[in-house]
Amino acid sequence: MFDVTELVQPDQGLINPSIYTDPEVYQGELERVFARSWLFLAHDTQLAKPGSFVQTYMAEDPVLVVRQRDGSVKAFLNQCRHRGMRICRADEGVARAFTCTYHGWGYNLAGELVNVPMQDRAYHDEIDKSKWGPTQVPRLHNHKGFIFGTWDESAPAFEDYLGDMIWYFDALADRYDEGLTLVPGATKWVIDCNWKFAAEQFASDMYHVPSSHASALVALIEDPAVLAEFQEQSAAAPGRQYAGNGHGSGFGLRPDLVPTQAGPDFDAWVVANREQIYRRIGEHRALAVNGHNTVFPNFSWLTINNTMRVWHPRGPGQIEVWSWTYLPKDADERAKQAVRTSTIRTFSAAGVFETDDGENWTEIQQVLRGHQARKTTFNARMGLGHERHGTDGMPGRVTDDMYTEMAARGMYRRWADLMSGLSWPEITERDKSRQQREQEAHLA
Amino acid sequence: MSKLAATPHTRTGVDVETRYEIERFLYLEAELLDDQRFDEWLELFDDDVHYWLPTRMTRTVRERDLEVAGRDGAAFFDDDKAFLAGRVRRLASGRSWSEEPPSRTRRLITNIRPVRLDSGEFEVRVNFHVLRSRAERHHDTFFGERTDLLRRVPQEPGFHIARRRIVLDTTTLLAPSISIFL
Amino acid sequence: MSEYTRKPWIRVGRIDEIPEDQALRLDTTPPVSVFRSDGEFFCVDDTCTHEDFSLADGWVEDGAVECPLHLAKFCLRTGAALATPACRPLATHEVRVDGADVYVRIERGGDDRVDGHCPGAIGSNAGRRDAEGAGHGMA
Repeated sequence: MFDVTELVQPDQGLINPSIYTDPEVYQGELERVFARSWLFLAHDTQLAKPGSFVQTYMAEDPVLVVRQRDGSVKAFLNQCRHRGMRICRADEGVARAFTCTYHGWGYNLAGELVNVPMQDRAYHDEIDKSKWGPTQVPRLHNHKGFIFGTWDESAPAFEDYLGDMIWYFDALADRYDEGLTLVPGATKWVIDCNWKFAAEQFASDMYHVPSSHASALVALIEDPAVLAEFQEQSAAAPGRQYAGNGHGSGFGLRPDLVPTQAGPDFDAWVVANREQIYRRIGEHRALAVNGHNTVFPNFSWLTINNTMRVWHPRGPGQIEVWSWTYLPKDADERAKQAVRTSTIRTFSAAGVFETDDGENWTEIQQVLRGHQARKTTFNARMGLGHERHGTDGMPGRVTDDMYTEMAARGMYRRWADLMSGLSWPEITERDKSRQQREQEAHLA
Repeated sequence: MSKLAATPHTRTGVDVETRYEIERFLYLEAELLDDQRFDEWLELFDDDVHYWLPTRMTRTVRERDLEVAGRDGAAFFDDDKAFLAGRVRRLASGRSWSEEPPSRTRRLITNIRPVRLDSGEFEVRVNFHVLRSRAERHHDTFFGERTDLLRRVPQEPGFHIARRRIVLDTTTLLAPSISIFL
Repeated sequence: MSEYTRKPWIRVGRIDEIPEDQALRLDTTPPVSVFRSDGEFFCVDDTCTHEDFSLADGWVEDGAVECPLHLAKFCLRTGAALATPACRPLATHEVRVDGADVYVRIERGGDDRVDGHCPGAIGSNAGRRDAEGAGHGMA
């Protein structure tokens, strides 16, 4: 078994890269990280009517998320209790019932076993159907349309699990009066890399942008003079990073909501609805919190780039990216098309930003085949000792620059706490005393 | 399902010579891509081109018509000429790290099925198999069907691509990216 | 059967409570459901003759209902089983639309009988009430 203290030293910003490759560590993550954390399942608008369902994953576990006739949502393992066959084999759709096609066990929309073929003859009417439904996700939480679930009865309430991250999440989730909707369908692709590269980058890494994405702006901006000016401005822009409870958010401060990446049609809608946005989340937050985000462990989004995604782990060396484009629900069609096309062109499997991320992560994973490479400590020490609290009135630990790895260290701290097998009350207690120490140090 | 023209058209077969010209054009296009002559490739497209690769998902038989995403749905590509030009600029920048060093591609364009529309344009469905070989030993393969709308132009090589719809035979893309053109 | 000895009409509900391609179940014994397909109303027994499932939760299409569990299919007009694994028909019942309201009349007669020619439903539900096939849906 692994010793977590040998794997990461979050306070020192030191990472043993075997956490990205070791099959034992990975199995530990499935049990101790993913089965104990709140995971993103679906957005309300994906479940438009009774019977609407999506099949998603909680780590490697296939889960059906289903709109009930009373409007509520249920989620249960997509696994028949008889011999474990998948009970629904479509990615999404509208169902009236689910049937395992192996032997025909039938389930209603709530995931209750309602029919066992030949119950009288084969089971002598002795099967208690109420005991043999698929495993239910016991806890679901709908945060402003974003549906999360956890298997862990002892996990903190969703709001406590997010902590101050809720304030940063709401820069997206609470932005518009009519809420968000998704472009229909998910874009799904496979990258041969560990899930933590992706989750960590979206939590903590603005630093890679000028290098990794050097060519993206070349695609977006034709005039070299305009491009140079834009790059100079964005490099000089002040920024902030938040970290807490394993989550992270980083952003450059902007003078205005426009121009957006989506172009004039969406800009016009944003300008027309500027007061609405400011009223809901405040001008300060609307202008600041616009960047990269991860809710631990694997749900990420880029606030003003209108893309969100889950990094589903597929073994230590592979992920499935499931990404969606979100839109203000009541935007006009031109604005919606502008957002949709701009997000497809920048952040999706063929996006001019996104393609370069996969390249980095697969190369790291390849190098880590080496014995010596896996023994080589990684440096996550950027900004160590420069953490701040309450910068600019933003809640939680907030640095005064976006170029830092505070949120990465926070992510690995939460990861290490969970992987050590600490109970949720123990983790909460540790977090509290850490925070107290930090604040005292900050005041002193 | 593969209809690209906005209005219903009468479709008629094409003569052998036209078929030959269309095949020759498509092979030339493939060659330009495999040889990474992207500026010349871009010239094959009309200014109003729509270059589109919608996503695809697994659906029950009852909802099979929703398998391929519609115009308002998720897509891998949804480009106009200006953005295709932007992608080409990026590939030439020397800093496009998913294509620098560049991938090696080899594309097989087969089962070419052209029909003439009463507008005088041609709708051409083809099957394709594209290999993307990258760095030391990485490789991706892309299988699918393309439906192009071709217009005759007076200059060489005789056609412009006015619409392209690409449908892959996969739902989850088994590749880290599509940093090439299909 | 004279009109005097027949069962009374039961009010099901308003027309707009049964949208196109939907059904409304009545908790009679056994339960029946009123379906609407192509603007026409039909009343048949609610329980699939293959396995226990409420056909009110089924897929209604072109005058037929398909059980979502095992894809048995029935004609709403005649009750006939159109697709295995069902092979016994559903009982059908009279439907009357009076203004904005829908009424049904449920009459059952004859002895229970078991259809022996049912390869898709071997042994299942043996001895259960069988359909009598009487009555017709009327719009």
